Amino acid sequence: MTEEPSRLPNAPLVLAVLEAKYPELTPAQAHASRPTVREAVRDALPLMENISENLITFGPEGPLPTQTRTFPRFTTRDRTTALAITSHAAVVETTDYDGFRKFHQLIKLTMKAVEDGVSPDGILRVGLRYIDEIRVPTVTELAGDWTGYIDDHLLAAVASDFLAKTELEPKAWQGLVQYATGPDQVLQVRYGPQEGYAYDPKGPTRRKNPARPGPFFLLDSDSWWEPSDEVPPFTAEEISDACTRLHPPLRHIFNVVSQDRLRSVYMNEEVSQ
Amino acid sequence: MTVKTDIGESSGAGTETTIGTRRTGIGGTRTLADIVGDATMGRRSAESLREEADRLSAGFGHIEHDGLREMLRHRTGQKKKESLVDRLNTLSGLGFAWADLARIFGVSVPALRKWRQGETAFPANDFRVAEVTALCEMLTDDVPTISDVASWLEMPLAVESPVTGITLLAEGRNDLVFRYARDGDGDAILDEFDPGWRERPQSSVVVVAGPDGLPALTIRDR
Repeated sequence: MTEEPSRLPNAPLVLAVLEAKYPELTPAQAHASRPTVREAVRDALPLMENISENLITFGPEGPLPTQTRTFPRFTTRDRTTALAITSHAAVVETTDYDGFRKFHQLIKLTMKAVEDGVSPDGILRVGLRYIDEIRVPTVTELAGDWTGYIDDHLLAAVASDFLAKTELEPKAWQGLVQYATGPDQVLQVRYGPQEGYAYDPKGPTRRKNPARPGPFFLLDSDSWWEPSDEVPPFTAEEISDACTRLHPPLRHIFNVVSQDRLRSVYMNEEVSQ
Repeated sequence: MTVKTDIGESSGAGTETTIGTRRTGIGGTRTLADIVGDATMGRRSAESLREEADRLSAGFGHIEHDGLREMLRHRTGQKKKESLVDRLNTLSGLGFAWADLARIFGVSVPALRKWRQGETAFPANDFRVAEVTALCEMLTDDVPTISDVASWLEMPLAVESPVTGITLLAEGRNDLVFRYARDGDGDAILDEFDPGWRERPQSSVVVVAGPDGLPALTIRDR
C-alpha cells in the first residue's frame, strides 16, 4: 500500500503536528511578534486567540506563585488547523490533513511568519508527528485480533504461538521503538491497541466528525531532527528542508505497518460481520 | 527499557522512557493539547502540593501550640513565686498602661491600684497576672521582631478592626496572641476570633447619652 493516507475516505490520521523548538523568547520578542505574524497568516488562519502557559517554580518551601504567560494561537474558522507561538516553540497542527504537500505549504507559510515576526535565535529541534487511530469494525475489544490488519511483527507479544508458551492471556499492551533515520534524525513509533481516542476531540484543535469512542490500534509516529553540533539559525527554509527529510520515514512506516486488509477499511469497504 | 505510560487508555503525552542509554520522551514532538494540558496538570499539581503543605503546616502548628502552652505553664509557675507587686511592676516596666492591664485582668483601675499597694487578689486573678507576665516575657525574649511588647499588643490586628492583642488577652486567647506573633496574619486571627468582623461596624467609638443627657462618645465594649 503506497497511497498517501490522507486521501483515503476513512483515513486513520487524526492529528498532524509540526513543532519547531527555539531558545526561550524574551517577553519583548513574544509581544512584538503578534501583529506581524497575524498579518502574515491572516488568509490561512484568520482567527487569533490567546492560550495560557503557566510557569511553575518550586522553591525550598514548596510551589511558588505561578507565573502565567499568554501566547497567541492562530486558527482556521473551524479551528481544525492552528499555529501557536509559545515561549519555547512554534507549533502547527491540523486535524484536517489533506496530504503532505498542502501541510508542507502551510508549514512554509507559518514558519516564514515566525521567522519574520518573532526572529527566534535558532532551531533546537524540528519534529513532525502523525497520530493514527486505526479502527477496524471487526475488532471490538481492546485486546482484539489485529491479524491481517497490522503487520505481524507489531503483534508478536500476543501471537498465538507465543501465548501458548506463556499460557497467559493478554489484557492490554503497547510497544515503542526508535529508529535512526539520518544524522541527528530519529523516527519513534509508539503502537498498540487503545480505547477511546488518541487525540481528544475536545482538544484545543477541533476534530470534525470524530469516530465513536472504542478500540483502535494506535500508530503514533514521531520523526524529529535535533542538531547536535551547532544551533542553526531559525529560517523557514531550514525548517521546510527538515520536514522534507522527516516526512518519508513517517509515510513509510505507515505503509509497512498497514496490511492489505486495512485497505478495505481505509476505503470504507469493510463492514462489521 | 523502562516505560511509564497509560496502557489501554490513551494518554496523549507526559510519558517518559529510557531506551538504551539515551533518555528521551515518548511523543517528544508536543501537540497544543500537551502544552495546555501540562500547564493545567502542573497547576493542579502545584495546587495539590500547596494544599498538602497547608495540611502539614496546620499539623505542625498543633505541635507548636502544645509546646508553647507547656512552656507558658512552666514560666507561669515560675512567676507565681514572685509577689503580685513585683509582677505588676514588671508589666508596668514593659510599658503597659494601667487601664490596659485592668482590661486584661477584668478588673477596675482602682482594684488594680489596690493590688499595687499590697492587697491580695483572688487566686484566679493572681494566676492570670502571673500568666500574662510570663507570656509577655516569652514574647519579648523569643520573638526578635517584637521589641516593645506593650506597643505591639496595643496595635489593631487590622486597619478595619479595633481588636488588638490587648483584646485577645482580655478574652483569654493566649493561643491567638502566640499565633499572631508567629505569623503576623491579623486577618486570619480576626477570622477565628470574630468571624463576623468584616461586616460589623469597626469603629470602637460609639455615641451614647451622657450623664447630662447630651450625646457623648465612649469606647465600645466588644
